Amino acid sequence: MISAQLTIAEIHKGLKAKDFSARELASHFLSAIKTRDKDLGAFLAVRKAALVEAQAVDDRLAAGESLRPLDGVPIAIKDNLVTEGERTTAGSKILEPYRGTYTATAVQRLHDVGAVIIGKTNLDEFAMGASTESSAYQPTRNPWNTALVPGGSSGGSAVAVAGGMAIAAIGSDTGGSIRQPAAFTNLVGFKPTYGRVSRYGLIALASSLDQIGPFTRTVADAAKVYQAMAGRDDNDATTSPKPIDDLASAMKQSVKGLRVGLPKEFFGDGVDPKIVAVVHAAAKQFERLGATLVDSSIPHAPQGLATYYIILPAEASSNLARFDGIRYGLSVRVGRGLQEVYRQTRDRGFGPEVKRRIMIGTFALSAGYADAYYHHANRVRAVLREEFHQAFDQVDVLLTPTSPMLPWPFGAKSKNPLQMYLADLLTVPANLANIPAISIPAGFIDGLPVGLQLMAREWDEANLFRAAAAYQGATDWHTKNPPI
Amino acid sequence: MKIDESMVQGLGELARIELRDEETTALVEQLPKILDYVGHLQAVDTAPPPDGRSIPNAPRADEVRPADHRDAILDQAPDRLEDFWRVPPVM
Repeated sequence: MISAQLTIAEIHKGLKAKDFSARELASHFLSAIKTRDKDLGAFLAVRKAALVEAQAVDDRLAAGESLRPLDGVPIAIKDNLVTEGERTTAGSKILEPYRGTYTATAVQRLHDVGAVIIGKTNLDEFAMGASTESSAYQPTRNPWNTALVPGGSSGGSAVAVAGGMAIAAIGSDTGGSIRQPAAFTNLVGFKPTYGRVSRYGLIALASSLDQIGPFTRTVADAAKVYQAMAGRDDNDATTSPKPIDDLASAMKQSVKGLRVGLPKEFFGDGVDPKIVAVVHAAAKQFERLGATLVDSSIPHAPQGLATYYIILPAEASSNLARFDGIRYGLSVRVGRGLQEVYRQTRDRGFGPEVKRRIMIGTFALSAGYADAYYHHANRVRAVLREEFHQAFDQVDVLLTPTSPMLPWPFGAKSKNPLQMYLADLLTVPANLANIPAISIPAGFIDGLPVGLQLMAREWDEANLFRAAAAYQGATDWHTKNPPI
Repeated sequence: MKIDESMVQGLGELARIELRDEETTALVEQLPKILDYVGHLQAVDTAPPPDGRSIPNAPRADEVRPADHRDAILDQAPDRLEDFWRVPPVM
């Protein structure tokens, strides 16, 4: 029977047994969006083409073709991934008139293995935020409590899955934008090693930090969606030719003897003690499964946030220079001359958070300040990377909370940008160190989900998924569904 | 370093953003707090520079490739004149 809780394996079983067709599955989720998304606000666009794509899957199966890895699986896409001929807004008014002229590699690869792309999801404007509140279009509500934010910036993608409107969703993670909303909505959210998934067609926020990854209910499904997208792409020179690990066999291995590090800096100041307690209980679970707990340290992790909030705005201010009202998107032509077009277009097209970060980045890169801010931050980033390398000489994975805080009410942090930035405290170090990290459901506090974060050494997705699958196999947090 | 109205306006010039008065006022209040927070990084001693174990550069072959969506791209132009983007006067 069709339900939002189906795993990819169950979908494929159902398709093979003809319990349902891919088209029926797509219809189910399209009508779920119709009835539920009024209250949740996850989608910026719904794709009618999903039915055509689903029919193509049914036709292939009827013709006796074998199942491809994501055949028939309804997947939602964050709206900062370009799709050909369709609106791609990045949550910004400046891209409202824009239509994609090509399809992002990650999305194309999902199509290529049979995924049915069901719609495009809401996000903080240009992925700048931790609550999805800075979207220029609409708020997205947390299905666990609709008075609370779903996290961000990929809040729409998280709520698409958590709200029963997609089986999986794709997000981008520059400083936690997949992992934190996954934690806020009781999902699995995975940020791969930098260089695993092509960023071609991802509207760039901070190019040295951005990675694309999946939201799913289970660790096994996250592996499947990730593997479909991963691998070298000639259109993104930072993608690695390294072979992608066989995660299916990694997930069959027990964690006996696996060294799980608890880096003390991730359990200290600014982290809700109730969340710390949940993650300590999860650590005990790893111990019961045969893993060895090890005290660990990343001495400069607390400086990661300041490092990030220099590097990110610097790169973003440079990346967003392309939105100038000349070649595509919004163009405000009221003044005299070219400079006025730039200035007026960017004033009307960008929201307050985007302007704020462009200003910080412009400052951090400006003559007289670039060495003290931008270049120094990159040197601290190198220190942090080295500390992670050293930690991973002693341990196989690091275990921490994903978010230092629980989901908050709308507007609670909007007046004070620094308060919002603190939400990224525990997730930015993985981006700065280029390492893979995953958030998985680990319990509840007052009815709100809590995520634990696992990090592994660069390119070692195998141990990351081995640990994550073992924990999920021994717990049932991920099977709990929100009241909506 | 002092963040005042003229500095914020100067950054707006560099960033090519027309700032309204209320935006300037908000930024004069917010930017010092943010820069003060990130400024704590100055205290981190990064000498001698760590090796960083950086990822090697991966240049691609410098080849001409056909662009098959030329018209779709030109169609996005806010002001298209035949196969050109029309822009307001530069001077």
